[in-house]
Amino acid sequence: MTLQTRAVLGALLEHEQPDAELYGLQIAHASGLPPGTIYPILQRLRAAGWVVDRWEDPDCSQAQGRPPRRYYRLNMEGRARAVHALQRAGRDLSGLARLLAPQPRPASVDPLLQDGRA
Amino acid sequence: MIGRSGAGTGRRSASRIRFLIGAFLTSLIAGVVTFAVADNVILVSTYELSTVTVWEDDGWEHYQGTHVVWVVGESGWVAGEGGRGTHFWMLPGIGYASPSTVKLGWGSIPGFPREFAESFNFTYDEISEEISFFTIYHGSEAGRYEIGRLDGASRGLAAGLLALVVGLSVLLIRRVRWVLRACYSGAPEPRPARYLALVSVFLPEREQQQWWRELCSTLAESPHRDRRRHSWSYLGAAPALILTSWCVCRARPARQTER
Repeated sequence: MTLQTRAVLGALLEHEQPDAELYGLQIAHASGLPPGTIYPILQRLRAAGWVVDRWEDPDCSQAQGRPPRRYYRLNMEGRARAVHALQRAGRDLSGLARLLAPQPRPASVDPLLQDGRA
Repeated sequence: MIGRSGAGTGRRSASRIRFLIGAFLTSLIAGVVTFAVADNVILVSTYELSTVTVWEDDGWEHYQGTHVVWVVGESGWVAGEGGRGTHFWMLPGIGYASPSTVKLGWGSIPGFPREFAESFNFTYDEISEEISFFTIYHGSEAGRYEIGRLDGASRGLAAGLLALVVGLSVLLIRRVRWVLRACYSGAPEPRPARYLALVSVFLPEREQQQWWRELCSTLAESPHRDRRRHSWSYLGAAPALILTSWCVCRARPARQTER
């Protein structure tokens, strides 16, 4: 799972209300990604059955003087899978961070120090 | 078989690649190539050089032989089909076929115009159920063979390739014009940049309108200072968008939006 996909899933998950719908620009703001980037991601999530979408009622949008929005939300299955995927990705990242972190070498096995003592 | 649904569309990319390769190989052996341009379909037909029979009768030029028909639809190339029989041509590029002997597999062209099929004397009872790589007209066993009338395989090759290029070019131009007209003219103010409408030319039909509507909606609500940046982001993501759209489209039928 790419970092961008994680960011989009995070944006959909971290909204205050669990069943809230977000439209493209909101997801872009929440994920920190440009709207052009999130569209293919949402497309894949929709095809995978994680996300459902709907178009806003044109009457409602016309009343506010703007084009209809396309709303996205995670369904139940998608929410569960997204949580699992993000948790796993978090574990992978923390595991990777542990591996990459510099570890102090014990003095007794340092050959240079041993040579110095000799 | 034609039941053009999920499984059928999944096979279409492979069959299209095979078809283009086959079209090239077939043009090597093609003796006569004609094409007719209808509203949104181009018919390309070739005869196999070694089997063609040509004669004139009452001012009509008759061809008979192993015959391949390629149909170019809005959604791409599809297979032609065949039967045992004769094609005869009144004018270059305008063909009529005997309804009792010619069948074409229209099934994988969405929205194929019925009028076109009827104008060529094809009836729906005769539609082939089989969409395959391509199918061939089998010439009559009693046919006369006048290979010398044709200039040779090189002419067939050039004509075949020319027909392919012309057919695809005409389709591309039509598609671009249609998409620009359909998308751009109906866009809400402020209108997105025109180059963005061109991106939708390369998307599957069902995705074109969805993507364009969402793009218009997003740009309309974007603050003025961000609009240019957002437009560029849509353009920059175009390769990923096109790839994803076709993969998703072929993997399974797109999920319906709720409204």
